[in-house]
Amino acid sequence: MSAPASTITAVTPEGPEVEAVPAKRQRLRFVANGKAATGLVVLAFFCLIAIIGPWIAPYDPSARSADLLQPPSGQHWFGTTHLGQDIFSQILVGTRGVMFVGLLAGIVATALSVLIGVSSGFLGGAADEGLSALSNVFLVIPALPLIIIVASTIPGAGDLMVALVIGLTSWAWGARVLRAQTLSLRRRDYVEAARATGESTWRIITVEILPNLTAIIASGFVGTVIFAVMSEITLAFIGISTISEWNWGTILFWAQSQQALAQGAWWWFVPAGLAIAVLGTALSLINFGIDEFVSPRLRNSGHTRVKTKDGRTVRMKVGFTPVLNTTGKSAPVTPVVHVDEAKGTVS
Amino acid sequence: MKAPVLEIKNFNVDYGLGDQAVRAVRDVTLTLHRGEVLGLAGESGSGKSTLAYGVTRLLPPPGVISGGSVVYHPPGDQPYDVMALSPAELRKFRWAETSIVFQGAMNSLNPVHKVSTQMLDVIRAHEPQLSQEARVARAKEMLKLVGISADRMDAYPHQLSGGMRQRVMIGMALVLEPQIVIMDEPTTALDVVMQRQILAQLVELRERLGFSVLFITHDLSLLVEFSDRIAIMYGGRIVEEAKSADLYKDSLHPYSEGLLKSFPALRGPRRELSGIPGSPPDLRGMPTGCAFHPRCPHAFDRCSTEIPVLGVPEARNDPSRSVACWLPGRVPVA
Amino acid sequence: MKFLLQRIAFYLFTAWAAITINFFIPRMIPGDPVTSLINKFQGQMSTEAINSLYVLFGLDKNASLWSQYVDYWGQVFRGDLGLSFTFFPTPVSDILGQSLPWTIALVGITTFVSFVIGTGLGVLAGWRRGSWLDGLLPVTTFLSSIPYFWLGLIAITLLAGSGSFFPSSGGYEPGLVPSWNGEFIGSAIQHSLLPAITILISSVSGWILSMRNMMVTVASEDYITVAHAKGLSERRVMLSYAARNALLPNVSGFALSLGFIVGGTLLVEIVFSYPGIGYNLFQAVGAKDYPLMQGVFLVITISVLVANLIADIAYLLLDPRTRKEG
Repeated sequence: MSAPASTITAVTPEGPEVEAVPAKRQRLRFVANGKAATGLVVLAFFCLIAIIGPWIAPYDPSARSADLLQPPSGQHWFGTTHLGQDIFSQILVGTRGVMFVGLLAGIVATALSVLIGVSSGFLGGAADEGLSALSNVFLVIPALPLIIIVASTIPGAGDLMVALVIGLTSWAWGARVLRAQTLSLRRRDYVEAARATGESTWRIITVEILPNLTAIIASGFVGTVIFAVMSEITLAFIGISTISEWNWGTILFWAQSQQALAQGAWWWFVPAGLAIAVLGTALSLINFGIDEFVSPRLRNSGHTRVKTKDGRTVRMKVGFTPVLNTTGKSAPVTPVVHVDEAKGTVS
Repeated sequence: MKAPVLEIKNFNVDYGLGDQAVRAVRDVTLTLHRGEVLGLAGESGSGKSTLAYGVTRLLPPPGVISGGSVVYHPPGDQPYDVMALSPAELRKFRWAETSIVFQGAMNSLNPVHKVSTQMLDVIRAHEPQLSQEARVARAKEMLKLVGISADRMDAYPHQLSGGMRQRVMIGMALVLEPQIVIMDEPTTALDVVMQRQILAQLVELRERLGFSVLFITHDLSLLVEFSDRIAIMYGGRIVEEAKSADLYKDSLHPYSEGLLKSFPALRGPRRELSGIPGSPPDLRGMPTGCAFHPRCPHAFDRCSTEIPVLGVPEARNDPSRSVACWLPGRVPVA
Repeated sequence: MKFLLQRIAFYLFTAWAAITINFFIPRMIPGDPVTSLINKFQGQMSTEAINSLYVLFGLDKNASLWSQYVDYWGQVFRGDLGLSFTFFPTPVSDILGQSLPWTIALVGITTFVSFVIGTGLGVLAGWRRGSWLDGLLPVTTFLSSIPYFWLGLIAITLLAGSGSFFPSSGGYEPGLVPSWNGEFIGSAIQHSLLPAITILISSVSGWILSMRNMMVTVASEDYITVAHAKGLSERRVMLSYAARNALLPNVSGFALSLGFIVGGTLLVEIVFSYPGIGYNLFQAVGAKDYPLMQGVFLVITISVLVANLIADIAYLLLDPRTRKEG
């Protein structure tokens, strides 16, 4: 083929969006993504609470008082427990444990998934087969029951132990995705070129491959944090991890074991549940942002409807390109039967 | 001059809406005549594929047609504007009157359905009155015409080679005997031998079935040999239009000349090869005046200020030719 | 066929790995909680039962690890998973045999229904971008971020309770005896509705989102443009071309995430005191009933493997490209 290479790979039709944008501008665009930005702000808020929570908490979360099972009031914003403990303080203090376990488990699992996924994809051969079999096994074995069993066998599992158990059992998904992506990157021209010029494997991996995996690693990290937070809260809720350390799951554990439901003490379990849901939503939003950043197609293209000059509403739609202004008048022949329906994709 | 079958008039295509709109096809007027092969050439980004997708209204979002008309002349009936059709009418018009063979045979076939399913569903959609046997017979006959044996009907796309898939696509494009077949780089992904075989077959089929072809490619030498007329696009506009032989012997626009020099001719005398310096213009920031002037070796003052109009050049008083250039002798006759 | 055999081999391997993990967990933990439990029930256990627990938990320090491993396998194959301490002296296998059908009925059916509904809505959301379904996405994201068990708690508070149609706990009316008669089945369905709705609400959005994203990705494939160019009806392009192809990665995603989903749904059983495996696990954890815990893990893992195999067969039927190696 004597054609310029660019023409062969060019995507038809040539839209303006296919052009490469410098990396710096792209990064800015990620933050500019509404979903990601919202998620990051909420996440930052929880991180802040995790740090300063114990200092700003109005009461000692374990301190008993005479206000037993009080509904929310000016004194106790989220009400009190059966022992008169302040639930608002429990939530504030408990944030630290939640974030600590989530982030630490996320880091452990991400590190493992990068190590296993990238080496598996890059090395190929027997190493690849062994490592991907290992990650498939971990993927298929139900993680939560495994975590429950391991954690309950360890006597007095604290936050650190719980985080490690979750991290060590939930790296497989990330490893699988990273392996696939590494495989495809390894076949790219520039990596082949680097290999041909004799660059060291280590350098190829750190300089040529890892930077291209950033988005996937980030999204895997966020996904693991979601999973870790949920697992940790579940462990606390069913009473496995030590209940002396406060976290949102511990609150729910007490609420459940003291029959908060039957007593109508909704304030005992609603705040913790909402906090989990808001944190989970924030993390999911960050991941949507990453997804849309990686494949722009998923983006909701702002306005899918538009008003034309003559006041019609036209919808963007695959398969039926909208016609903004039909110049039927200037055509030499008037449309035969289509005068009435001559609205194209009017909705 | 033959009768027109498709008249594209003052056609404009945008990507995006409102302030963000980027114009990819500008004010294109082009006529396809009955039974002819019209070649459309240009670099990637010149708007040639956008034009083809726009004419059939298959352009995905954010593409919109921002002006112009595409008048189709059905044989023995009143002409009508394709841009004014309702979705239901457009669906009826598609494939029955204008079919398309896309670039990249690999992905044009649905990987989860048999070839037969994909051939038959289009016949069923357009000719529901036909019996199942008649549909199968029609599909088989068409595949035979493109050199695919009937027993491949029940194959899945992944069981066929690239060349075979493209033949299947061509057979599918002809199965309703449309008036127009649009071909967008139909042979780019194939090797040269396969490319020539398929093109030879296409020429033969056209003589037999009498359809018109709008052939889009960046490979001008292929067009010179294969098409009756050629239109050259640059920066979303048509910059030259002429009979193939005329264009080859005596191209008038510096860009056409540059394109011709970028490809080795398959037949005819040897020529020196040279590319065109620079790169295609950014649609978001088109140069003023003639879009080609920053790359043009003959550019002078006027080129950067005024946009040249496509018209019959002064020097050649030949109504079959037109060019958009300010160079002496090429300015349109008043 | 080759594809299927490969998968079966892989699942056998995974089952082996899971059982081996089960073998090692109690052996790697310092101290042995089981001995004290055995001592507690000293007089009430037969030597045979004690022996079985010794094999399962590696209490026989004299045997080599290898011979412990071989004995362990022999016992697992015989279906002897020891005695439960919570339900002393019922064998673990009997307890699991009773609760597994409940879990399969509740979790199995709702997971499948959730996949079908979610995929269906995802097809529409992906095909008609910018329609009202897109507005639904943030809501479903929020719902899916709520832990299953918490949603269950809320559902009980709001919908169940005395005088409500929805019972707040159990798998059937307390007075009934499990049998295949109309009254019992009706009661079982009534009891399963609320947990099922809980699972459905929390899990459906994941399917909506992944199918929507697949539809959006597939919609720009060449064969979709060709399908439009062929003038096929909107319905046919959407279902037979776009959705049919987008379904493939969603089915394999379904298989892969079964382990995650099943883990989460088991918690719903806890909240509703539903007589399934998840509730067993809860009881076992509370009572430090290690034999039951291990048995639950084993049964869950094997069920997930079987479900995976079924999903693989479905994939095989859907994708002709994996079918060709005959």
